[in-house]
Amino acid sequence: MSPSVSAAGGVATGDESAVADAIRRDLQAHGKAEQALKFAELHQKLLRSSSGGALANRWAILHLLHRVSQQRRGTPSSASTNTSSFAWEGWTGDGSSLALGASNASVSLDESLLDMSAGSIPLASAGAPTASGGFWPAAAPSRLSAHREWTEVVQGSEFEVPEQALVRDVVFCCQGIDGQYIAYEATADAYIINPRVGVSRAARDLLRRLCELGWLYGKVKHFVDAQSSEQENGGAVMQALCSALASELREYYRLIAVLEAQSNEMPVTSFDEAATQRPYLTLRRLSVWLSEPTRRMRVMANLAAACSGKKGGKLLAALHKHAQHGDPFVHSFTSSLLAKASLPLYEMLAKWLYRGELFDPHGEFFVTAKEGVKEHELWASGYSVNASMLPPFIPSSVAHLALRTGKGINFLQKCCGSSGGWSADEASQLQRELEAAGPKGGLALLGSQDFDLATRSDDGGLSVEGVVEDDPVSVLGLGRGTGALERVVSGAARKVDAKLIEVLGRTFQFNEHVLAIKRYLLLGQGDFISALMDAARADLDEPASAVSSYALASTVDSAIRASCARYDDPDILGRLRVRMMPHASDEVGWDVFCLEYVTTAPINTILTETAMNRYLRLFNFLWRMKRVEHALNHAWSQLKPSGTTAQFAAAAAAAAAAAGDAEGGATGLTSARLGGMVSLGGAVKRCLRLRSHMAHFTSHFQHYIMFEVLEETWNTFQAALGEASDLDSVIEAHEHYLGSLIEKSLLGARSQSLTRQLSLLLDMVLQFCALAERLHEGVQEVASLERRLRLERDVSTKRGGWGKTGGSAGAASDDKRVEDLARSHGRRFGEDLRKLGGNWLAGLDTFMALLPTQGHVDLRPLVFRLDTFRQHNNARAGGSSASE
Amino acid sequence: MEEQLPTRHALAALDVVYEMSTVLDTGLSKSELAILMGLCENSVNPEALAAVVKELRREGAALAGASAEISR
Repeated sequence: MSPSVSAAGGVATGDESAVADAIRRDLQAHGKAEQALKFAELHQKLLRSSSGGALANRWAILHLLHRVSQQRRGTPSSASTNTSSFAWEGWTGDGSSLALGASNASVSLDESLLDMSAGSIPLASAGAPTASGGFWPAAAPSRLSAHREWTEVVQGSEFEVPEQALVRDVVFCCQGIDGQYIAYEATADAYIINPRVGVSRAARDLLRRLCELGWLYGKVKHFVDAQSSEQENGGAVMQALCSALASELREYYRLIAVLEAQSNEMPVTSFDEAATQRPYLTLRRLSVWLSEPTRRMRVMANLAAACSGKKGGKLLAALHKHAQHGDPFVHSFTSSLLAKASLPLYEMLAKWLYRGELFDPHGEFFVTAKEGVKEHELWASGYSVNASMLPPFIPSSVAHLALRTGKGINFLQKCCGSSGGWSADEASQLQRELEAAGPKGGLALLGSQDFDLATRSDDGGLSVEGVVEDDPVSVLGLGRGTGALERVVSGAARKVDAKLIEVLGRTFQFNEHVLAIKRYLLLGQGDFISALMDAARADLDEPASAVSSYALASTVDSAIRASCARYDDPDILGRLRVRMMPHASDEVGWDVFCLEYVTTAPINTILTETAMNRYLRLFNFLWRMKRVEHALNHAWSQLKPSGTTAQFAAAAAAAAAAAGDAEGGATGLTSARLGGMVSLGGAVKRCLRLRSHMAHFTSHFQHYIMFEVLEETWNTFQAALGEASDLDSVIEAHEHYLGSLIEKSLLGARSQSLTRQLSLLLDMVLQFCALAERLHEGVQEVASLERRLRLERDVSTKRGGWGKTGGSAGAASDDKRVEDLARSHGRRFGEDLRKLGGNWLAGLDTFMALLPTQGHVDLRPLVFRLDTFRQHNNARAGGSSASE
Repeated sequence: MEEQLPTRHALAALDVVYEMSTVLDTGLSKSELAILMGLCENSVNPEALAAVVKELRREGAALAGASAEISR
């Protein structure tokens, strides 16, 4: 037997528990669980009792007991034999272990151990490969360092690069810093492990996966840095996104800092778990810990790539597109970023909705203003929705509502003067109301969080903390929030629209203006128009170039004074102006005269210049109609049966009654003269008949315009106006009103053939009136000739003579002259009238044939009126022509 | 008193260790154990002590066998 002294002279306090464990295991291995339990109890007792210091060297005694019990059992563990065999071969030769023990007995324990460990190190490292188990007895007091060396040696056989160095490199690379073995290669755009160093293939794969994080981080970091360095063109939304990303990066830095700290420190592990003696942070552990950050970073890098170069609504659209992701993690993460990034947008929206301020230095808002817009165009073209900047989570209807609201505020401020301004008080009041009424506090961006719970309960009882966090997300249309946004916007819109309508209706009396236009421009005020017609007739008969608009203006004034119009509002009357249209050389005053109604801001937003031009067209048409009617009336007054012409008519009637009687006629007219009279009288009769036909047509047409078109459209318009709750619908109602007026008056683009025919007919009427005028003159001429002859005859008779030439021959020659004149006039006018009448009837037929082609307007009332009248007249015309 | 306190502790410890020894079935008597503990406390290598115990037991057994043969 060679008593070998184990190297386990190395006594560390930590070893005691190891020995105790070994004993316990041993006992259990031999099926003595009870003893093992007992032993553990006793060991605990010993630990407690020996606190007084009775036993300083418990490890030794425990070890001794262990050994002795093993000897007794006769089954010494292989470990112990191995240990003793390898550890102290150098000492076995001595065979004087006891001497050693004795010699050391006096020496302090630590010193002896130090001595021994100093000698043991080379031995231990040399014998390490054979130490398959039971390592502890060989361990020196600085066992840990020895062990570390051992692991390094062991690992060195597999990897040239120790894992810990790789871990450190990975942590570096996650911060975008090149490590010792892993460096960023710009050409490959990746982190490359130095191919020359010895790293196993599996580790390389793992490293490649880990380094993705570094690469992603680099992308995100670059994006954030680039934006913060060129904030000028990035825009507020971009800045918000970058700040959200930066805060994510801060979280990430925190993680990296923890990892870095852990990669440097050794963990506290129990001795017997020798496996964990390796560095705490391994590549595998890293890969687990970094998988979640990698996911986040990947999403962020994706977003950064998608968002770069975009701004405002486009950027939000890109974010929103990425938020529509099936992966709940990506969805919620992107949504939260989206919520943060869209804060500036909502701030802009709030400013716009509540104050009408367009604070958008980077052109990110979906409402854009046009520069240099005049006041009256502010509403129509001052602002517009920029569809490309509209984030997809804001519906277009809401955007237009928001546009109208802000536009309304601006309109109130800029166009409505002091009486209609949108004060700051109103703005804040509106904001308060909306935020109090809105179930989720409206945009919640303006920091008001004091909503009461009652109003919020209808939204599903959000927690108080949840409101602020939750709100932007939900407002973003990720679920129920669209409704909230819509409610807020429509609430603001309602308020502003109501104010706008009130200001326009009450302060600026929009309705009165439209009514005035109807009365004056659409000839609704009959007495004024006839007064104007009478007063201006003389002037308007002049050639267009000779008509003075100033003279006409005074005529209009006098017409106003002569009619009920003088009781009207002076402001409205003051807006009535005379306007002369540009004229051709052969036109008369009638053709160029126009009444104009001057509109000012803000009414001219509705009654725009185009609208006023259309009113002018209507006026021209109606005025022409009136003029024709007036001319026909004038013709009648000249040819009316009570005047001179009546004699001719009566003569014609008498002649017709006593055609064959040569002596007929109380005045003693000769049959020859009578024939001339009959001819002229027939012309007059025909003229009157044609006039009445034309007058029927014009009056029916005018009735149609007045009652079927103007009044009906007006009623519809008033109804629409009563329902209109915002300026847009008022404008639309007015446009519709004006449009249907034009259409129904047959002035529309689709009625051009009809318009032309109508104007042809009216021209014919005017020609006829001129003819009637000439006829009247002819009749007057005949009558005056006859009068003169008779006077001369009477004078000569009084003188006592026999007339001028004496005898019946003189009278006969006189009669002959009159008769010739009358006959020539009658023939000429009869011919002209017949021709004109034929043309008129043909023209009327064409017009009537064209009427049914106007499918887009309901012309039935007009057709009905004209048809009955035509039947009637045709019957009459047919009858009279048959009688002739 | 000051001297007795450690002694008492030592006795208590001895009792505990003796119980352990019986649990482990070492076959050591209380007096033997006391000697061994003393040696251990004086930093004698336990491995060596174990070897000594083994050796002594073997010698003792040999001696007993020899005396038995002699007595026979």
